[in-house]
Amino acid sequence: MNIVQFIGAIELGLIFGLVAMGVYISFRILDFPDLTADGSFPLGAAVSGTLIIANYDPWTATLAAMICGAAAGLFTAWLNTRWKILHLLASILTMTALYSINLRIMGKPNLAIMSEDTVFTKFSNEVIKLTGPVMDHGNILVVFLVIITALVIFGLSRFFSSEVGLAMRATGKSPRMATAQGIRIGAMTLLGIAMSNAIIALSGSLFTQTHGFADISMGTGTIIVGLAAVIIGEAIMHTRSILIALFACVIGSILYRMVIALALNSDFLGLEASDERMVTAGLVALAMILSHAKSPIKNLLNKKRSAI
Amino acid sequence: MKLLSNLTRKVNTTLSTIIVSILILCTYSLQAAKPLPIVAISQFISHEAVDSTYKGLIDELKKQGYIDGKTIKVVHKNAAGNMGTNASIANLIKSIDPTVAVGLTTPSAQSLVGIKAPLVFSIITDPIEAKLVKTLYRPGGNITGVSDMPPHVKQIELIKAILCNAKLIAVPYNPGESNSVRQVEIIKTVAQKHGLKVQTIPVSSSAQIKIALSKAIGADAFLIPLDNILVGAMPTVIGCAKEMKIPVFTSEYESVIKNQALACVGYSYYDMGAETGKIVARILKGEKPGDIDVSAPYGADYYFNLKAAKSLNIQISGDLLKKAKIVK
Repeated sequence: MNIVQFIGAIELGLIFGLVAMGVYISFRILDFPDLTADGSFPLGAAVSGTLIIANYDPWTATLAAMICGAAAGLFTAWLNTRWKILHLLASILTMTALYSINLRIMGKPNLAIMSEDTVFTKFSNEVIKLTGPVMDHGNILVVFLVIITALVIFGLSRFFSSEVGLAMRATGKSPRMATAQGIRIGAMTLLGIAMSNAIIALSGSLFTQTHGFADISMGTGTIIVGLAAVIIGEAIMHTRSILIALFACVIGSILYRMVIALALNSDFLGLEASDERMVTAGLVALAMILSHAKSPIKNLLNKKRSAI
Repeated sequence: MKLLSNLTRKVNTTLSTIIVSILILCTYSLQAAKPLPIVAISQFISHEAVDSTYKGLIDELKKQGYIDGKTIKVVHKNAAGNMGTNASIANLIKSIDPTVAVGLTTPSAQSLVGIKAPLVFSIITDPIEAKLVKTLYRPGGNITGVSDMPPHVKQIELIKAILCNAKLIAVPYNPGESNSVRQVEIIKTVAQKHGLKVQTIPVSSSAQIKIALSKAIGADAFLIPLDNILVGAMPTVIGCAKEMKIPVFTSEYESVIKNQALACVGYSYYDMGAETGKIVARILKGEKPGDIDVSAPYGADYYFNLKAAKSLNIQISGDLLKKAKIVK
């Protein structure tokens, strides 16, 4: 791995770190396995791409993408809380519908915005105006993404220490107890899933604006990548603090990208880039099995003993 | 037992240290010296069409004396349809600074934009709309490639020549594929000029083909664009058309030879790969990509299947058969 790949992995890791935080809110905080991400990631891309081509301000376009993402999340949560559709199924329904909706929004399957103004080009022009040509484009992009990520982490950790945020965490940990405390768990689920998908749509929007195109097939595998990042983060940093946990999501995401970049470099074990999905699935499954057992070897021994 | 659990806990903490140190080591290990020119190929997804393009590309390079491992080094990466991996592959290719970079399909080529090396794209129907080049003739800059726009004018003329009374043609396509959407737009305008009506049939997965195609009852012919889903499921498409007694015209000849499509004007993905290979070879020889026109696999050939014609009671005139490259 060399410096271009290294910077590239950090940049991608930061963008998908937002997805990881979204996944953390739904899977870990609310205990709501939400697969809407595979649809809300390209939704964010589609909405911001379309608005940018229509000459809207890129910041407005990004905000609109987040609002649409939140709406998608609300719909999933509403199907679940109001109509008692199983959460997993509700999110699959939304995700499936979003494929058609994204096509409608873009009007065609691939939207190129390479020559348009984006939030990133605006930021980079400002920086160059202020400091002169000290940093190159790639470095400014990383700085920009670090600022966005820091803002999201800061905002979320503040929120989860507030009264509403604590109520949301209680909803995920023990819905019965939360109801007994007078928390409206339905409202909390709606809010949480909406927030989660707004952040994932933000990630999709930033991906499109930094890579120059939106594509209908870009959502494939978003959820599993986010989940892998969350789990890698948890494996590295055991914590109860929300701030650190969110930070761990981003670190997990960057590490995941590094591993992918490494795997692409070496033809290690005869693996090819197309084997990535299998490796990711294996990684997530393994991490989940191990996280159940504090000490996996001890657990295995216990199993054997109880079998006898 | 305590010893064991202590041990595993230690393993857990050391594991993360090991991962981090491997990463740091790898950052320092620089790329080895590169005596051979590198051709780096990024492919978005594995698919009959894309895979045969790749094969055509490699075979053409071989024909011109560029052999992997001997005269060039080929780096080929496949993103398996994952946009994140696709971006990582683009980063990898940018970092190894190849002599020529090749993007097969739209997302791969778009991710590679901004690379220092010459970029050759392929399997893109409208490279102008994909914002890769500004013009098709001498595009300038460092990007050129092959457009896979089928010869739709010749296709429509052929349909008119074989089926004199045709009024309505049915065009199934995947609305999720930018290349197909563009082809359908062109087919519509060409057909209108020839006084034909077009019924478009969206098919978004191969499982839907049977139900979707049954909507075409009343159409005089099927015209199948170069579409990944439909080309991949050609036996199903032709089977359905056979039941409905509607002749099938295609854009790639294998469906005429292997299956029983009635006729085809077009070329194969393999030819497209070969055309891409020719451009790569020209750049390896020192030409500038900006001076090379965006090309298409030329010499649209005619193919007929007489067995299909017989079962549909269709006469194909001798003049047409003389034009054909292969009659089966």
